[in-house]
Order: sequence, then C-alpha cells, then structure tokens
Amino acid sequence: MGDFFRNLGDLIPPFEWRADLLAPWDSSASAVSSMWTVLLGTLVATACALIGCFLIVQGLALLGDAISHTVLLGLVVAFLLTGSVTGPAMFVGAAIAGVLTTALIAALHKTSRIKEDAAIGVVFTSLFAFGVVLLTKLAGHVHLDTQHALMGLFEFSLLDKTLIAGHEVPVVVLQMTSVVVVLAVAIRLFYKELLSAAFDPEWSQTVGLRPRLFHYVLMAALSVTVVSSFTAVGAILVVAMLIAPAATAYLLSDRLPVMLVLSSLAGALSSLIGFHVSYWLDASTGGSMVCVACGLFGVAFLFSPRQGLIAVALRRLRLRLRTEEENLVRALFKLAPESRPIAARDLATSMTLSETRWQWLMWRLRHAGWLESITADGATSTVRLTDTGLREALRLDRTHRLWETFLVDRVGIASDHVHPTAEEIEHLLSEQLVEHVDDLLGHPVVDPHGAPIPRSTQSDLRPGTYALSKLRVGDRGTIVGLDATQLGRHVDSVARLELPLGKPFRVTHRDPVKTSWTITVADGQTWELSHAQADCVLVSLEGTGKL
Amino acid sequence: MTGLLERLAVLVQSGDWSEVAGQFVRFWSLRDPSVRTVLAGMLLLGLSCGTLGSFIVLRRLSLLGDSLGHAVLPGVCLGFLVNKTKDIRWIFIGAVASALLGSWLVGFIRRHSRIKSDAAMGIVLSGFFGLGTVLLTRIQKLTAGSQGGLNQFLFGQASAISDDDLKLMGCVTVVIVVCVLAAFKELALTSFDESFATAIGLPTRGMHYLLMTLIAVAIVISIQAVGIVLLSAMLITPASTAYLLTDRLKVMVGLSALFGMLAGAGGACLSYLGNNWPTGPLVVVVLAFFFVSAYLFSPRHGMVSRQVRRYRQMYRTRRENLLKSVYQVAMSGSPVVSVSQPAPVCISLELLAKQRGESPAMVRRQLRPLVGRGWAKLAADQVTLTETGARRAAELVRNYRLWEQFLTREVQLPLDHVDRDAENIEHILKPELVRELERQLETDQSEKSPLPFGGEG
Amino acid sequence: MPPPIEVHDLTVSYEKRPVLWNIDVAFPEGQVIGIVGPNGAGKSTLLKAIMGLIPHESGWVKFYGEPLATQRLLVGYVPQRESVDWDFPVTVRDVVLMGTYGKLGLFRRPGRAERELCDRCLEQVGMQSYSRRQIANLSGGQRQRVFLARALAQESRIYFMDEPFSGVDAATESAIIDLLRQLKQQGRTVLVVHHDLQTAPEYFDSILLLNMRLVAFGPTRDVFTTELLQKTYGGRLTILSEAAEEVADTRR
Repeated sequence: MGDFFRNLGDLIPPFEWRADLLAPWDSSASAVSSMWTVLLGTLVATACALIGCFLIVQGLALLGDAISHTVLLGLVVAFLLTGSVTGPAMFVGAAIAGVLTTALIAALHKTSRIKEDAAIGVVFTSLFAFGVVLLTKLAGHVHLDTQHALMGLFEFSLLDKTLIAGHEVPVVVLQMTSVVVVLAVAIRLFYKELLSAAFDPEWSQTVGLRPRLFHYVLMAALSVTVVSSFTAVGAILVVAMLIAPAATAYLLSDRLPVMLVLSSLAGALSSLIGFHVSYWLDASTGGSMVCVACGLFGVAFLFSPRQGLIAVALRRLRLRLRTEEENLVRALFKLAPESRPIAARDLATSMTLSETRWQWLMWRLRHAGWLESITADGATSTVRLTDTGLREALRLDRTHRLWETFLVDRVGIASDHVHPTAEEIEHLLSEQLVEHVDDLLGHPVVDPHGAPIPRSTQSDLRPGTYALSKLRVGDRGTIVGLDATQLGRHVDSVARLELPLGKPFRVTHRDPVKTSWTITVADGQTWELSHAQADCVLVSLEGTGKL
Repeated sequence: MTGLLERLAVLVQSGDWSEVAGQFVRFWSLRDPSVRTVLAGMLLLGLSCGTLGSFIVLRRLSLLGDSLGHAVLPGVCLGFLVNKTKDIRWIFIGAVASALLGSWLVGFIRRHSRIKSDAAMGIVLSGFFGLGTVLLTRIQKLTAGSQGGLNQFLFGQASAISDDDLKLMGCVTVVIVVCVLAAFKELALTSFDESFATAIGLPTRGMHYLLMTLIAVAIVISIQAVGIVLLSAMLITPASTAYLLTDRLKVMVGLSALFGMLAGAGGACLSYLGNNWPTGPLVVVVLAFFFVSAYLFSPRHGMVSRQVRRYRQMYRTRRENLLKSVYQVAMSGSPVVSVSQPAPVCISLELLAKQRGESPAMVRRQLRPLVGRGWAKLAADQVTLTETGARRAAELVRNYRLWEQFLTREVQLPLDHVDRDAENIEHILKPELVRELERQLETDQSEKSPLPFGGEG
Repeated sequence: MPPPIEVHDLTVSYEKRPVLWNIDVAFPEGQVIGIVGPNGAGKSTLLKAIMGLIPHESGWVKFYGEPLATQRLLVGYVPQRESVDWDFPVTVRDVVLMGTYGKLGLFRRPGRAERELCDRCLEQVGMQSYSRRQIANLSGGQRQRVFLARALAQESRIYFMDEPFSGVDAATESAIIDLLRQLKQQGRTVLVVHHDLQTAPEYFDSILLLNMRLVAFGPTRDVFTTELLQKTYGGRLTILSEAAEEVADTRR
C-alpha cells in the first residue's frame, strides 16, 4: 500500500505557478499554439453548452450520450459514400446518424415493450459497435481511428492549417467557429419554438409551433456539434462538455437565457483552466478540460446560493437554532407565565443540552433581547423573559395550541397524538396562516387539552381597533365602525342587527357550537352576532385599549 | 462511383476463405489451450452479465450500467498504481470501488439537487472517464507504457484473458449466480414494485446496493474482454432480447444468460478469425443480431408475428363475411332458423356474385378457402354450405345482430354508425362476451322485435 | 354560422384499444361546457383528439366549419399541471408570454404589446406579483393559474381546459370560476374536463356525459339527471371496454 501513495505522488508533479501558468504564454510561438488550444477548447465547450442546455432541461442528457457515439457510424457511412470524413460529408453523415438514432429509439420503444432507457442503450451500443467494426475493417484507408474518435487528440487536430489574411489558422478552429455562430444565430431565431417545445411540447403542438420538427432539428444540431467537436475532444468527452457546463448553469440560474450564457462561460472557463491543468500534469488536454468542467459542477453543487448543498445545510441549521431558541422561550413561559425570574438551572435540566450549547443558547437569547439575567453568578443565576420575549412566547404558544386544535378538530387526529407534530410545525407557520387557521376554527378560546389559547395581538384595519370576533367573555369595548373589506355579502344582515354604535358594551356569552358572540349594553339589551357578522364589526377596547 | 465500389470492396474482401474456414475449425476444435481459456472466459462473463441484466432492464436502470462501465476507468488506473503492474487483484478492487462510488454519486446528486437522474448519470459517466483519461495519459508518460494497453481497455481484447483472469471470472460468476439464486424472490419483488416490497418489510435499499455491487463486479471482469465503451450492451441487450421473448422472469433471466454466453462465444470467435480484432464491438454486433431477430420474429411480441396476426384477422374477416353473405342470400325470405338445426343452404354463384357486386369467377376464387375449411361445397354453378358451415354462418349473423342491438339500444349510437362497428367486431367477439350480451339484452328480447335464432340453442 | 366545434363520428384508440367510440357532437357558442364521466372514460382523450394531439381512427373535427389546421389560433389549451416539468428554468412571465407565440409566426419575437398583454393576463388571474418568480417556487393552485394566464394570452375564441379544478386551493378555484364567467360574457366557448359531480351543475351551462361514448349532451338541467348519471357511471357499458380489450388483443 505504501507504494501506492508514493506512486500516486509521482503522478502529481509539484505545481509552480510561474512554470505552469505563465510558461505556455511567454514566447510568441508557444503563446500562439496555447491560444489555438484554448480557443478551440472554448469553441467546443460553447457549442456543446448551448446544445447541452436544451438537453438538460428536457431530461435528454443520455440521448446526447447516445448520439455522441452513433455519429461514428454516420462518419463511416459518409466515408463509404464520398471517400471523405471532413467538410460537408462529415456534417451530413453525422446529422443523418443523429436523426436516425433518435427515430430508431422512438420507434423501438413505441412499437415494442422495450422501455425508453433500454431502447437508448441497445440502439446506441449496436450502432456504435457496427461503426467500430466497419472502421476496423477500413483501417489504413480512412483518416480516423477508434481511439481517436473516443478520446480525441487535441494537439493533432490543430495541425491542419490554412492561410487567412496572412495568418495561419487551424482549419478545425474555423470549422468550430462557424458551428458556434450558426448555433447561436439559430437559437436566437428559433428561441420561442425551441423554448416552448422543450417546456411543453403537447401544448406547443396545439398552437402550431411544430415541436416534433424542432426536436429533430435539435438532434441534428447536436450531431453536427458532436461531430465537429469529435476530433478535438473525442466522443465521451463531448458528452461531458454537453452535460457538465449545462448542469452547472442549471443549478445557478432560473431562466433559460441566463442558463445559456452561464453554461457557455462555464465551458470557456473549463477550457482555459483545463489547458493549464493539462500543461501542469502533462496529461490529455480533453480529459483535463472535462475534469475541470465536472469540478465546476461540483462547486456549483456545493455552493449554489439557493440550491447548493451548503446553502441548504445552512438553512436547515438556522431552522434548528431557531427551533431551539423558541422551545426555550416557551419552556420559560410555561414555568413562569408572568415572567418572574427563575433559576437557570431548572431550565437547563429540562432542556438536556451540554453546558457549552446551553451557554451559547442563553447568549443568543440575550442577544435577541428575549431574555435578561437578573443575577448572574454561575450556578445560582436567575433569568426572566423580557417584554419582547414574552410577546414571542405568547405568539408561539398561540401558534402551537391553534395548530393542535386544528389537527384535532379538522384533520381528526387523536388529541394524545397531536403534540409532536404541532411541536415541529409551530416554528414554520407564518403569522398570516395562523390567523387564517384561527378564523377557520371560529376563534377558539381553549385547545383540545383544555388549556387557554393566547389571543392574537394584531389590530384590524386601524391601530387600536379589533374585530369583535377576537373578543372573549368579559371583554368591554365600544363599537366604532364596520370593516368594509369583510362586509361583502353580509352587509344586509349586519345592518338588520341595528348595533349600538358608540355605546360601551360587554361580551357576556360565547357559544362555541354556533360560534356566536353575545354582547350586552348597560341597559341590559343584548345582541347575538354570528361569526361572519362579528368579523365585520370593529371595536375599540376599554382600559389599555389593547388585547 | 468507382470510389464507392473500391471502398465497399475493402469492406467485403476478406483474404483467403479457406484460411478463414481453417481458423474457424481451429477455434471450435478447442485444441489450442489459449482458445479454451478465452472461450471459457467469454462464457462466464456472458453468464454473469446476462443474469444481472434482466434486473437492470426491469428496474429501468439500463443507462446506469453504461455510467458504471465508464466510471471504472479511474479505479483501474489507481489499481495499476499500487504495484505499477497489471496486478489483477488491485485493479479489480480499484475498479469495483470506483464503480460503487459512481453509483452512489449518481444517487447523491439526484437526491440533493434538482438535477435529474439522466444528467447525474451523464456527469458521473463523463467526469469519471475524463479523470480516467488524465490518469491514463499520465501513467503512460511515467511508465512509458504501450498505447496498445489503452485500446484494450476501450474495446476489449478477449485473447488477452489469462489463466489468472479466468480464475477470477470463475469466482465472480459463482458469487453472482449464487447471490441471484439466493435472493431471487427479493430481487424480483423489489424490481417489480419497490413500494410494496418496502411495505412488507423487504430491505429494498439493501437489494439495490447488492445489485449495484454485483453489477460493478460483473462490469469489472468484463472490461478485459468487452471494453469499457460497449460494456453496457453486454448487460442490456441480452436482457432486452429475452424480454421480447418471454413474460416470465425466471425464463427471462435464463434466456438472457444464454444470449450473453452465445454472444460472448460468437464475439470471441469472430475476433479470432479477424486476427485479434477488438472483441467488444464484435460481441455487440452478435448481440444486436439476436436483438433484431427477436424484435422481428418473437412469437408474441415480434413485428412479423404481429403482422401475421393482423393478416390472419383480415383473412378471417373476409372469409366470414363471404360465408355470411352466402347464408344471408340463401336465407332471404326464408323463415327464422335456429343455430342448432340449420337447414341445408344452397345458392347459385351468379346470384351471390350479383349480390356482392363481383364477377362469378372472383366469387368462386374467394370461396375456395371456405371449401378448404369444410364450410362449403362448390359445384359447377352453385355453392352449398355444409352443416358446420351453416352453423358457423348462423352464429356469425347472430353475433352481428347482438352487437348491433347492443350498440343501438344501450350505447344509442345512430344507425349509420352501427353498421361499420358491427362489421368489425363480430369477428372478434369471444363466446363469453356474446353470452354477456345475450344476458343484457334478454329482457328487451321478449318485448320488442325478437332476435333471429335467439334463445333456442 | 357553423358551430365553434363540431365533432363527427370520432373514434380513438390508445395502444390499439378503442377508448372513444363514435362521438358525434356539436358544441354551441358562448357556453361553459363540462365534460363529465368516470375515471378512464376518455375525457382527456376526447379533448386531445379534438385538438389533434392524438390521431383518430375515424371521423373529423371542424372549428367554425373549417379543419383544425387553418384554425389553430382560435384554440387555447390549458393542459393538466402534471404534463410539464416544473423545475424548468423559466419564470411565470416567460410561461405566460409563450401564449403569444402562436400568433407571432416564425422569426418574430414578442415585443412590448405582447408583454403588456401578458401582464394583463397575469393580473386577471391574480398572479401579477409573482411574475418574476421561477415556476418551481409556486404552489399547485398558482401553477394552475399560470397555465390559465398562458391560455388567456392566446386570446382564443375556444378554450379547452383539462381538469383545471383538480387539487387547487379555494383562491384558485374562485379565480377559475370568475375567469370562466368572464370568458362566457365575452362570448367565448370553454370546454372543461371535470371529475367532481358535486360542483359540476353550478359551474357549467351545458354538460357532456362521457363514458367511452357520448351518453348525453345538453343544457345542465336536462342532462344532469339521476337516470343519465346512472347510465354514465353504471355497469352496462363495461361491455364496451371488454370489447375494446378484445380488439386490442387481435390488433396486437
């Protein structure tokens, strides 16, 4: 085993930034050749990324894999027919092979019981094997060999050059440039057809956007891209360049145009970094590019701001911390509802936390202003809830009990089963949803265990006014008006009540079965309001004016 | 044009046929010990891949096989690094570990991001392969290793199977076959209905990982012979071929293993004939041949048998329509006859031809199949239905009327639609369905116009 | 004036099995029409066959007396929510904008007018504040409303909706009902596949009862009778599906 690590060490030469990053660019001759390599890599990566985006969003990544292999057969057939494996013959042969592969796969899984994944597997391996066998037979007659087709030979592909405006330009670079330009223009021109065909082909067909035609056009474009990238990076590495940058962009963006740009950038970046990696390691250029592209995917997978593994973990951690804090506040509230000081140790034992975690939790709560220490001398320290803390505790208690009531009343879960579920959810519910549940349940006063539910402290419509439905027996107040947003179709029934506007009243009865409120004024006259009516009536309270 | 011919000529020219035949005999006589090793190896890996392939295809993991096939490359390189020799044990361990890591990574990416499984497989496949190429080029530079080694990994070379390899293949195959046999029930159930299997307490997760491990192992022993690139075909194609031929899992596994073995042997033989051509593509070509044959000629699911069934149905419809029209022409104006005791039926060809709007010669020709089935007798200018023929005809007419009644009364189709449907379906109705129709229409029968030939039978 | 949709003798098979038998119906203009029937009755299939998404074995469909090919722009479609991948990298607005693509023709891209139209449609379904959200971050009801807005942006005269009410929240339900009412007021014809018998009579002007074949079609009060419902949901038609199985067997 020791040998293994020594050998592994031999494999990775020391990294010297001057030699590995600057050397390829220092003399003019090497700079030119480096430039062509990086440029070719960038062009290949961009072309693949543009097509790759459309593959990824439709779940066609493996069709891309299949076609990158079967174009080999297209090349062989093109050679048989025209005697050449370059130029137009190559493109036509590849496009036909790509469309044929797609059609064969579709036909196979439509006309037999073979499922789509198996159909892809069978078709592409068979066609590719056939191509390889023909190629082996033609060895020595055709300027293409199988290993070359699979792994690519970056440097060799750049050797064939032509003169343009007095400069020597590798033919393959020109070819790739035209492919990228054609692709970019085509995507721009047919963007809406491609987008809608990818998103919702069935609907697109009803609108007449011809999704099936564009699917095959996309496959032909894929084949052309693959075959022109073939010579540089080889079939299997083309698959990587199709999928990895597009998948990276898919993790980072929410819109297709952004994704197209980002994936091209990721591709270009992999080409540049990959070139240096291959220079440093003295290893295959295409392979290094692919490793970097996949590395970039890994980075996005971990660090994507919204969906990355780390972002998700952080979100989860934050929720856990909040749950912990909120649980402690509720525990404190239960022990001392009037926020009288209590011994910290009593709490610590009830929470089963380690000393450091406990200290940290206390610090967080004090920092949030929910808790204050009364005496702070180690073991005998006492703490109590501040006003903010108390409000928070009441809100949590209310959420918890309302949710419990909801589960028992509406979902029909036995009341002794409810507690754990309510415990988890109370930290997640929005205030708006809690109020909605409260209204749905008819503003209950006690929960299924018989414990009182704290009331909502939110005012309605104007500060200091509350809907009558929020009042409980014994509350005193004055009706100040009606809530126009609630009135709707209850306008007549409320008017018929002839409510004692402006007179002080007292809530004398609440009927939990009918969900009605009975109010009594000083002279003993009473009114009974239904839930809907009580929601419309705004009152101001006697005393502090607050609930 | 001449260029095309020349190039095609290169394809078909194949040296000396007698020499090829000699090679062929030499291969199958098994006198050469190396041939024996190669053949045994190919049979073993055909057996193990074919056995596992069925479960892969049924679980719709076909392309995972492809990913894992590519994912072994870095493991192979790292295994090589241990001693800087082709030590089969270390390479085996490295490759299996790397394939398992790949399969875990596919699941991990899928679970923890919105990347779908196809893209996850693609990334793992190409990423591992890219890493593998970098390692490989690096190792080749360091050890000045030959290029030939690389091509072997890509497309396989059966003739390079050594006795050591064979031993390993044997062990692995035994392990795979024993595992599959022992856990057959569990594998079958988890492949068929995963949630049900979980519900009754089967270790679905465990089965998945068991299968993945077995696949990884099977892949690794196949690299030498089939190569990385076309490995997945060895798993998927035999199983898909078997899937076209049978509906039973046990038979499917058996057939799949058989096809795997046949293709392995065939590929090895072809490679031998072609002076050590890469074996992988040849094996796959043989497999593709099997698959296409099954696709075309499978008795139940094949294209040809489907076409045959369709034609048969068409001829049956034609035949029965003719029978019916003979019967109806003869019966027109005569009283209702029961199915059980049909009267002898005899009409002139001329009348029948006129009724059908065809020439008498044509009608005569069409009548021949009826004669062949013993339904009718042809005389010079008239046709007589035999007793069986008449009974069959009566049945047909009755089915037709039943169906027509059902469509008009129950389904309330307009009359002009009824006729076409009744035409088509009367030939298809099975006896049970006819009885069901009778039962449904029984009540109506007594009230309204009675069905012809109803009830007595 | 010919009716907005006329279906004549339509027969459709799925995987060789007949699922719709000889449908004959003409839908009147300016109504909200429900297509009601049990599971597997071919409700969605009927919709798709009318729109030419599934090939039919016999029969024809005409829109205002013309074949579909010339009338595509008159037809708007709200597919089932499950029919697309909601992780797709597009925003709510992008999806609604697609509704205008049909009218634009090749090479033209949506401009200011189209974007304004799309904002109006979003407002109509109460989704204007979500227009920049990615569609993955929407609830089921919101997704339904996005699809409705896309159909509105098509500005069609005929709308097909496939189970728009299934699994949506109360707000979406009332939004859809409002929308149906508005569309009707504008004289458009709306066909809605619906599976809930309870709500059907209050939503629809006319109802088509379907169970592999047309059981009845007409104004809701005439059609929504116990007898006809019994017929649609009752057992007498099982023979049709049995026969369909046998047809499939011989065609296989």
